[in-house]
Amino acid sequence: MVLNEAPEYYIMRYLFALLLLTTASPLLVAAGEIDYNRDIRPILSDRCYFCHGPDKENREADLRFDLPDGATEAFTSGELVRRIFNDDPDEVMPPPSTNLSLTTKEKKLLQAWIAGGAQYAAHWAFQPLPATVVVPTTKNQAWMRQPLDAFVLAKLEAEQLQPTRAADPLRWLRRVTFDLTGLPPSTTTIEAFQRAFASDADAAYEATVDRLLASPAYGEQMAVAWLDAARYADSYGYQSDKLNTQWPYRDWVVKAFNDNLPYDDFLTWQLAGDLLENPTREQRLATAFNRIHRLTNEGGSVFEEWRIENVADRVHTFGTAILGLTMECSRCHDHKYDPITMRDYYSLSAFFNSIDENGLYDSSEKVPSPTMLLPTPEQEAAQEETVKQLVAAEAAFHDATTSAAPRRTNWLQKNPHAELKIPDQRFALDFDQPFDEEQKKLTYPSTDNLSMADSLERVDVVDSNVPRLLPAEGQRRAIVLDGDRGVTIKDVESFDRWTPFSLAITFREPQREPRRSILATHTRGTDAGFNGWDLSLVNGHVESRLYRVWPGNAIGIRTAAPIPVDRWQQLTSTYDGSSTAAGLKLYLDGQLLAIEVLRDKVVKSASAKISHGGQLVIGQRFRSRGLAGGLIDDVRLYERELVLTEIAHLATGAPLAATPAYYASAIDEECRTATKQLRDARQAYVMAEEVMQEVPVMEELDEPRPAHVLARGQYDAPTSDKTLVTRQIFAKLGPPFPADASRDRLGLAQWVTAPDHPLTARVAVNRLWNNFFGAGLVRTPENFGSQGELPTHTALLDWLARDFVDAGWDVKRFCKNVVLSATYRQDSATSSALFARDLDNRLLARGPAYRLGAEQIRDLALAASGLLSHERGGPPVSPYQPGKDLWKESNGMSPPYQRSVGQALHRRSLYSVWKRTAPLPNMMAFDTTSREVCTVRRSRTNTPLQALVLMNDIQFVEAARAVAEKLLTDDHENDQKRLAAAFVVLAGRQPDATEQRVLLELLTEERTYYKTHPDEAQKLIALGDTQPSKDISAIELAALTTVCQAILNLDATIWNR
Amino acid sequence: MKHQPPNSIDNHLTVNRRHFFKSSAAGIGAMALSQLLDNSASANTGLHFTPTAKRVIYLFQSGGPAQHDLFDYKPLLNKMHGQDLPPEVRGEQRLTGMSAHQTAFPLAGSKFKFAQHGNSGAWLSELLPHHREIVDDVCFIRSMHTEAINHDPAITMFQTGSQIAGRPSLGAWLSYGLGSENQNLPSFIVLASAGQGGQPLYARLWGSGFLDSKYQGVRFRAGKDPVLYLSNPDGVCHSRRRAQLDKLNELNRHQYEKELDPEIESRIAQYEMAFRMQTSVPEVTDLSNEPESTFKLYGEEAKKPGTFAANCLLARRLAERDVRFIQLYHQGWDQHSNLPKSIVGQAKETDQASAALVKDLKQRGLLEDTLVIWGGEFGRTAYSQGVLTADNYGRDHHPRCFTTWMAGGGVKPGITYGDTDEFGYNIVANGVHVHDFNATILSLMGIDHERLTYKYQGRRFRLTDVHGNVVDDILA
Repeated sequence: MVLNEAPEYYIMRYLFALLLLTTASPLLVAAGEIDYNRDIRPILSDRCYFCHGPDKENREADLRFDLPDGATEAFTSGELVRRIFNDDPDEVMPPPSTNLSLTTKEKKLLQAWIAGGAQYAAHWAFQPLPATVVVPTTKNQAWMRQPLDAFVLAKLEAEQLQPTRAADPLRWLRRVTFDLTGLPPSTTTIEAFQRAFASDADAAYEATVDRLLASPAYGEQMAVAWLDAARYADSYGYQSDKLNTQWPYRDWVVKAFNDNLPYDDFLTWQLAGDLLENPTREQRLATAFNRIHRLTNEGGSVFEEWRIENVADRVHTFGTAILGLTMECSRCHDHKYDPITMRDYYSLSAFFNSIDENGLYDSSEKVPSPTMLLPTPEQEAAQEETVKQLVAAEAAFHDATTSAAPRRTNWLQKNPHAELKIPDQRFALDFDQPFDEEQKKLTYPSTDNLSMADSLERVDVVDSNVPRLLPAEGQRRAIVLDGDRGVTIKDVESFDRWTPFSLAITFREPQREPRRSILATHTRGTDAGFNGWDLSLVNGHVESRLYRVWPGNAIGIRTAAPIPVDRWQQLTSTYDGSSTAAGLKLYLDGQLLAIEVLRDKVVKSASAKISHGGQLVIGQRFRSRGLAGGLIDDVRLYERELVLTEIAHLATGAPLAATPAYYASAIDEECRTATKQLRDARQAYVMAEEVMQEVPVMEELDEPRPAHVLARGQYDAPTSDKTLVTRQIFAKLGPPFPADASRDRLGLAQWVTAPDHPLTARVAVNRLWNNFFGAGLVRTPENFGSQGELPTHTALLDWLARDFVDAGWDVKRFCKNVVLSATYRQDSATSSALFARDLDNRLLARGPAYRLGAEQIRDLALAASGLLSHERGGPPVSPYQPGKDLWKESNGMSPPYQRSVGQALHRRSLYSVWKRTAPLPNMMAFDTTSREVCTVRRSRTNTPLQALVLMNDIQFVEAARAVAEKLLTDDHENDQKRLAAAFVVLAGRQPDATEQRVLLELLTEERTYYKTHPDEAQKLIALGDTQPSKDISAIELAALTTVCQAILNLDATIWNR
Repeated sequence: MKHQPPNSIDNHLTVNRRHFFKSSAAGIGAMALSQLLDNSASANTGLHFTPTAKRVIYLFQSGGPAQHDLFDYKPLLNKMHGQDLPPEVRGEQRLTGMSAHQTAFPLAGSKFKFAQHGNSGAWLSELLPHHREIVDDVCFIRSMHTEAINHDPAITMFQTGSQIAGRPSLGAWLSYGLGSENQNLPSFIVLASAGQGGQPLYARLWGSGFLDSKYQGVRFRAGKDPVLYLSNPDGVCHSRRRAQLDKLNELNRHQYEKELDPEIESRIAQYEMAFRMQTSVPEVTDLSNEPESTFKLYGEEAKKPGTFAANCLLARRLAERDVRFIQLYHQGWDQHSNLPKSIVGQAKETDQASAALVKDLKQRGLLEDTLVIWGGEFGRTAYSQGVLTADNYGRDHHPRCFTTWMAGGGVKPGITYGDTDEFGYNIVANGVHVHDFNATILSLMGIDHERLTYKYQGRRFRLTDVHGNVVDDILA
């Protein structure tokens, strides 16, 4: 199939016309020459769709220009032409108020197009990827090295342009080394390449590419662009912006590139790795892609508002990073330009909304659920050891209980009249007397934040059938809670997964509250998320929950029925230490209550020690609703799971019976010892988990969460059956949802990676192309829709995409074909005429040239200096950063910046910590993004701050000194040789005569200066953590350091040309 | 007639791409407003309106100053002190999770005395004695409102026109639209009070979003290096740096002759600008040559680098040098509890210097074309967060109404705009939304907020999204 590739000069003339803002005689265009996609759609889309496009709600005059039959009458009647060529501000279209007026040229184009019959064509990027793309024939066959070159050359020939001569081999070597590894070629590499080149040039090129593709640095370089798209960072990104735990995802991306994971798998794992059959650890880890968006923990945040925000971020990132679509628009209304309805948006969001998350995070320690643990082999082994001990302890406990019967019989014989008690009481508290000062050291009325409150009101207890705590003298009294204050009981060990306990409360709830009211709590954390245990009433249902992160990392139960209201009753909540929901029980007035399980999966400690709380509190919790109006008569805590007879005794006064269960739990030494050992083994198991890296991942809820169309995108918009949506892809864009696919993210991944999907492969190869040419074939990689730019080479993009898919989505193969192509091999230096004609290199009549990226510039300095650490992966490191502590400077809630030491100071920049609200300033100066949201294009600016960084940042001063030191240590005959070597290591080539001369002059001047200022020399060379050898002359070293820094600052160094 | 027909544009604003490289070489971030408009018919014109303000000094009060205790006098709250907020006043409005679970919402009358001042008769509490002297130069807007109820989204909304990250900040939009007036200093400078604590500040607040990163604000700090990386490394002196730059330039020019890439010329110019900044920044940040009368005006605190007072003074010095957008931040207004105590110090830190800045600009003839803005991301509740006692209360976040003020730059002096109900809970007249506020700022700078756009992801983005109306009533 031959694509309809129009003569390029049209585009060029059109572009230049715009560029120069020409108003003089616009081209007269004959209808036959008009290409709808090239000439007409951009005008209709940009100027008309806003009111006459896909957005149904806001469409004016029931007229739409995005579909062939949406405005036929306006065309045939001449009305459209009349309206666009109109001087009356009330008549003219587009109306002046829109600020979208048409130029004369645009009007004439529209006129000619209508005159020619107003022929529509489908938007190029929404057409299925063609099954084949014919490679054009060109006159000059000799130039071409790859099929892709034919597309470039065909266009140049049509433009009557010649390709630029091939770049010097060393220029190509430097270019390809940076593009494939982000690092400069080393001096030895350069020399080896020159030798190989001399014997067989083509083989030398190919061998170089193979070597670079096989280098682990390849994955590190390729990962950067994807990490921008995936908005990977090391902090959560809002308000206190605490550090997260997501770095294993970054390492997975690097590894995926190095392993050359096919791109369709690359996407499938990230979208749906958890849904694959028996997913591997890596496949699950990849799903972190949908979890590494920002999260807030700001006090007072509304959970649902932010959960919806998280889902929205997933939808937007999916749209931009994978499909090159702008989903954001459709959150509040049908898309103004592309065929994406608001309903489509929410139908897509339904794929991403069904994980057990609460919308916020609380602290670095508590990873927002759902998560996976990533133990090291050592941690795994250590945990296996604890499992063995746990199994043994469980067996011992089982043995002890099953063998207890004869011991009980024996004990009963020996102690026929034993007074039975309930041992293991931690405390028992009534409120008959006011709090006295001595008592307040242990228990006191408390405010919201646990500070001492005014005493609570007390009332007489008159009509209670629950036995009194102590047969004390005087009036029996209860405290009256007000919902805002409670009673704090200090120094009670935190309840955790391994600690059995029983808490009994005698209370009265005069009025039913629909909202959650706290009865008792032993939690830490803020209102953005507690962890620990709580007992609460929700519309009369009692809930007992133990959790690290509610709801995804938790066990919890709720009574099947509401408990009675407005009567004195005793509620006992017990836990057996088993880490299961079955281990939680609730009793009312001595009777076990029927319950339903809320959650039953918990990892790590449920009592992570973080700020706020940490005490057992009755009736209230920080920024929660307490038991307003509730009365509490007494409270008791036991450090054991009480048995039924004990619970009944507390509640009703029924005598304790020496039941087998009672005997085993309360009396029998063997059982009690086994219980203690079981508790210890359980604790050891949890502690073995506690040290493991925990990463947020996707994990589907059993039942998909309902998704709704939300008016104006607001979380609290009213919902109904009408707003309810099911999981669907776009109704009018892309292939249909695969018939055999499941309606989940895995099905979505299948849809996305369909071999003829119009967008996925095009977007992917465009992004890859950008890696090598500094710009994509579509210059708006963030938008392939109607408002995006057309490709500079449409057929080439299609051919590349088709070839990419047919070859198994093979990224390395793609890279190899590009860097070996004649197009890529061209020199970037060209004539002023060509610069003037094609400043942005849209024709590809010359080779790529662009300023190196932030990471590449720093890595270049580190690599050239020999300081670069070769360690790969792992937690982020913290390089030099100026100022006192830029993290805490304007954010008292942030963790401090703790600069790394030793090797970690000199890791590749990929591994530098990425703090979203306070990114590293030397990286930001070179246009890294904050990674707050998905970004698929970085700007490449040229600013004075860049000069200040490269001249003054200690990172670069130290690197220049290390380069100089090496030059002075190595065997070089003279200054010239030394300077040449410096030039080679930094700029990748020999200096020419002028460069030699100027550098030598500078060196001489510097030497003269430092000879007379030896102290200054000492100061300069002492900068940085690494220290130069004392054997080297400080003056020589300082002088050469400044010269190396000058070379480091050259265009020849920091540009890839 | 508030808006004159457009003036003819400065020459450097009508450029093509090639020219742009040259002109940007001369200054930081010079970008043409006309370029932004080259899709519209008015591509050859300059600013949309005749600007009344050439520069902005924005005194952002982070945390949400309590309007009931500073500006918005509500005697009813004192009368009803301790009584619950009538439910019909709040209606269905949401609260933050910090006070939503309270069982009661007791009204808290301000502990501070209010009086009217100046010819304009503006109400001020006793917390702001120095403000009395500027009330006739100031326009108080009592009817500000926003949607966000948490700090991060609320301050992001004010500064970028969106609660969600990724949009350019106000200063970045202005740099992008108007370029720089000063060849030695950045056009957008950020100053934050040092060691203030309170709600965090984020790089995105002065970021460039999807605009080129050269439009982002440059942060100045107190101390040795006012701009990060400004100082030469130890052992490298000014004259040596000059000599190194000469060689560097020579080499880069040589490279240009081989490559012919105009970016190289631009790079050479950037190095020169950096070198000039090494002189101009220390010069402008050095307050030692200010006369004693200055410190009398701004207060002794102004002698301490990094204080709000010192930053106000520095802002005036930057304004004198035609820096276009000077963004100050002062944190610490987030008084959820113990408000009567903590607001006293907070007001003291800002009152004198804020007033001094207005007075100082006025006496130098700069106030007429410098817009000064004072305000936070939202207000605070009429009811007490936490337990109310006779002399202590706290206030939670309140986005429904709050007070900010503007002065100079073409704003009507000596007026109070907008009304709130007697609880200070809802707006009853002339509400000013964040988008209206930002539209008004742009308008004063000569820009139609609907026409300063940047096409990204196929959409024309604006600071004011698809909203905003210029508040004509407050324009002089």
